[in-house]
Amino acid sequence: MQKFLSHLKGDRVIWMVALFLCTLSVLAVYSAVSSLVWKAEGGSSAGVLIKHVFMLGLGLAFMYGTHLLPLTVFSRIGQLMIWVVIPLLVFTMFFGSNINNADRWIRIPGIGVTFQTSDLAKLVLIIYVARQLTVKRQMLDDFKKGVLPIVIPIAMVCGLVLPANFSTAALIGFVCFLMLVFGGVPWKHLFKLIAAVVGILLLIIVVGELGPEKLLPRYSTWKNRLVGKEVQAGAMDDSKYQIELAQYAIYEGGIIPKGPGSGTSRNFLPHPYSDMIYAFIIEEYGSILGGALVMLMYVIFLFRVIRISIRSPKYFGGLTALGLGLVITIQAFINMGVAVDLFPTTGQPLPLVSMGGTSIVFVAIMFGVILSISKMDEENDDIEQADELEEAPF
Amino acid sequence: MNELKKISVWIYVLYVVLCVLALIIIGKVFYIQAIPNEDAQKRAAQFTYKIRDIEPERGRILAADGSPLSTSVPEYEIRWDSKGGYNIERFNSKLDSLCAGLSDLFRDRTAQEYKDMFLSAIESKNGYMKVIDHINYNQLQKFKALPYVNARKLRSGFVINSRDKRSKPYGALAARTIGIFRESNMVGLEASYDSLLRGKAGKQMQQKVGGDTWVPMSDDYVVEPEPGFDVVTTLDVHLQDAAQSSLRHTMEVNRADWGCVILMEVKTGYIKALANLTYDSVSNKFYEIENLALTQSVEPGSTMKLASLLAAIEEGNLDLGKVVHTGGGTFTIGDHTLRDVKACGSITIEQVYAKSSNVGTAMVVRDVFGSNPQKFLDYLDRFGYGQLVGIDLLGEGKSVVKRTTKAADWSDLSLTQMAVGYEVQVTPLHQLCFYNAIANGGKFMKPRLVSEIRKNGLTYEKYEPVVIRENFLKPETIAKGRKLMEAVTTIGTGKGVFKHSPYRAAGKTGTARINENGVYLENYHRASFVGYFPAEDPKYSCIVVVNKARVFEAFGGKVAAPVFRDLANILFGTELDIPHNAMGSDSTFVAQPWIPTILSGESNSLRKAFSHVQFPYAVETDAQIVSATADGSTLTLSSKDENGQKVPDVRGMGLSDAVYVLEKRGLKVSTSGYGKVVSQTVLPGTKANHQFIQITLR
Repeated sequence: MQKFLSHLKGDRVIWMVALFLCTLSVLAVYSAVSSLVWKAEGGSSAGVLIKHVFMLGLGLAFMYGTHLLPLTVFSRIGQLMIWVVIPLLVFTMFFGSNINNADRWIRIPGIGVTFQTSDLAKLVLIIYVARQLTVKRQMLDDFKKGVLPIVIPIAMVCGLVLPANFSTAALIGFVCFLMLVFGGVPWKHLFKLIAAVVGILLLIIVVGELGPEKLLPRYSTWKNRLVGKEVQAGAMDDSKYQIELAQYAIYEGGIIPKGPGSGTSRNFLPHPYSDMIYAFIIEEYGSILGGALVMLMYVIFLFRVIRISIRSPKYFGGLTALGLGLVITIQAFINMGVAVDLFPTTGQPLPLVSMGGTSIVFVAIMFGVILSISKMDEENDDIEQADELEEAPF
Repeated sequence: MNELKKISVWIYVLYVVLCVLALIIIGKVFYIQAIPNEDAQKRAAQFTYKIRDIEPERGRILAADGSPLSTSVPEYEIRWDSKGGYNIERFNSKLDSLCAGLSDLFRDRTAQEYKDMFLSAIESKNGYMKVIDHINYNQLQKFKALPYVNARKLRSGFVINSRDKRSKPYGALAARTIGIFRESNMVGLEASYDSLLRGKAGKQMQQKVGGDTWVPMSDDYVVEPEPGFDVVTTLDVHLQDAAQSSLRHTMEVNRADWGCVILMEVKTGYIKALANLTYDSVSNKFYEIENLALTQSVEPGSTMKLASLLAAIEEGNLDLGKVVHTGGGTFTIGDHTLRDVKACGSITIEQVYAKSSNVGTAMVVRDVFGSNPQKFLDYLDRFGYGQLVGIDLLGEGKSVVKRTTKAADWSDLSLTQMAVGYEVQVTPLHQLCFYNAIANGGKFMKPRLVSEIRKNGLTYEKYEPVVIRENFLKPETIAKGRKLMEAVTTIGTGKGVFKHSPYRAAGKTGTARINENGVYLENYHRASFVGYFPAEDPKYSCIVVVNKARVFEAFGGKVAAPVFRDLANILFGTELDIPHNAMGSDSTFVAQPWIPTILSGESNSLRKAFSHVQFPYAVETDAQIVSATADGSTLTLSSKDENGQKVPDVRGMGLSDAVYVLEKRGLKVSTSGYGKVVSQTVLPGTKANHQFIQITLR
């Protein structure tokens, strides 16, 4: 054990959180896919579970591999990958697999693995923004020269993700905005950005209401979810129904754990292994062990991330860690908030817990990057290392 | 230099804000748990899924020829959920044509009545309105083709429940032997072979759709239900029908209390017919309410004499010609006097048996066993008395026989009393088995009602005949036993019964006194006849017991034996390899006046019968079921119905023929009453269209 731990560098607490969440993920997903409905629909629970465990294993491997890399590598990757991500997003928008009228996925040719381009975009954009904020920290007073070059890629990514997945676009946009705030962009410029966003949202509403349906195919879904429109009786997959059943699962869970495998909501709750996994975990493990403890994991995680980002010897490292930590935590809160009916229904997975193929791997890489940054703090690297980040212009 | 350090306060402010959000989320969890949300509960309950047991199809009980005696047929109930899950506009637009279709199909309500029913269900929010019940598969298919229903497979609001109904296509035929299938207190073969008939329950994913109604999510099973095995009985539908009718007839004529008849195949022990009737004083009718042939362990009376005399003959090496001096027909031991009905004087042992002399039997037995009565009891034990015969039907009664002379109820009288069939109790089945063993050359066969178990129409297991006892008597003694029984029908108490029969039968009559609550009744007797036929080469054995006939001289030969004769007549008419009676004359048989009463029946049987009696007949059709019309000296066989698609006229037919004919046309038959068909609910000539038809027999 000691030997095993000695291989793990970086923040031990974050490692613990990651391992805890992965373990929970195996238990909860196994229980959820053992459900009768899953079987009745011809699914093989063993096959699905094996695939999920494999993805978690792959994620942990990536987490480990990533955390060994030096910070400079991320900087370079962010700089290059942003020019890969944006075309990929364009490609996804036009040729992605259509699931539930949302073009979110693309298939990697040859190996048959699909992944959500926005997962990659999230990671790359945050690293890229952190890098730009570091590089241009002296020019941020100048809106055109300093702020705009950072904002344009953000706007492009958000704009490309938005038609398919509003919530992810909003999440990315919000976290990037926070990074701009903490990255020292003056408030006068930030207000301009806020005004622009409000303007764009108004435009979306106008286009959605009056424009052709093709332009924003999911507009009516967003509207329904936000406004909470009364839905037709009997529709099995509507959000109101999902939420009611999630609340029922939470109610059933009570305070005392019922134990893994005892949940009944998996038999009627849509997506008990992903979008609604928090409600399902509460049903099986109770509101304290399942509800509060899982929440506490993310709260602890964010606290450690903030500590790392503040204590990081590198401004770039600090910003990257903060951005990634915020995106993971806020995504987790959105997932949990949806399950308890605080937020409108949206399909954000619970990071490292929900079954969701490659998205687990990307979250794991984010953890890896954060751990790599924490490692520098730990090793107390020489603060006055040559800062090669300065040179590269946008 | 990390500039974040300078603004770390603001980062922590953000952290606190997010922590507050986390607290709100957790707070909401507890809030949800504290306040039950009825809507959510209702919704969850509504969409509950479960793996539910699927009852397997219960196996059928078949007659020897494969006709179903007990089978499960699906029956459906249609309900309607007015509360949603369907498109109300589409429903309203089709309501009129739907109601017209329903009215047309089920004919129990007018279209307007159906419409009112739906509308009031919508108004009262009835989620489980019964539309119709007890419909069959064909009606269900037609229902599914109705307007509105046909277009809305899943969300029409209609709920179809199915269940299996156990039905006996032949009605009361062998009803008690077939038994009753129910949750508890099953009886008959349904109970005895339940473990095989039952099958294995399957499991299927089902969704609750309201009330306690569950519908399968798909046609797939989690565990496929395994249908039960088919049980093939040894029962013959025609013989069973004849046995019941004949027994009923004699019981009605003789106003008896209860009666039973068993017909057994000698070589195999297979039971071909088994009928029981009990008089019900309330309705003044006879019903089959108990399997008396198995359960009634009663004093057999004279039929016991075969066992007693054979024991004496074996032990004493006696000759059938040995003369016994019965004198004036009384025999006194102590203060008890045995009497014969008629004094016989000096007679041979053969005559003692043939004339059923109590005195003679007692003398012979006392002569051989008087010094050592235990030996007599040992013989009875060797014959199997006192043990079960082990029929494959639950509820067999045990014969009660004294095992030892040291028994508390043993007296000086016991030996002679037992010899003539008292102080012993034997079931009709057991007595038949013993007689059958003598007819079968000393092989005591295990009585069987089931010969085969089938799965999907193929033989799964065959039950071969089982000899449960042999070599209990020397072959010479067995031969002597058969001689004794032959004497009964030639010179003895059964002489009159088979006088006109073209075959020879052998057996023994019995007219036992009835012990009710320890007192022997003065006026009533238990008449019985047990024997076999043909005498030369025994093929069938039979016992008939008729208890407490309320007529003068209710002797076994007069009350019980005719039932045996009726069955033998049928067997003789249908089985060619039964030898003709060399002594009998065909002319006396032809002279019987029953030919013109044949109304309709199976063509082959009728032709065979007519050829045999050399009665001229003409055949007009090659139909299987024909009606016979007498015209002076000739009989004409003509088709019962010209068109197979039409409902035939079954009036005048017996139960089994009528059911056969109607089911052949695809009709679903239910029966009531006994005897011949007197009325049918669907008129002859109506187009046969899988209707239900009820026939009444009288």
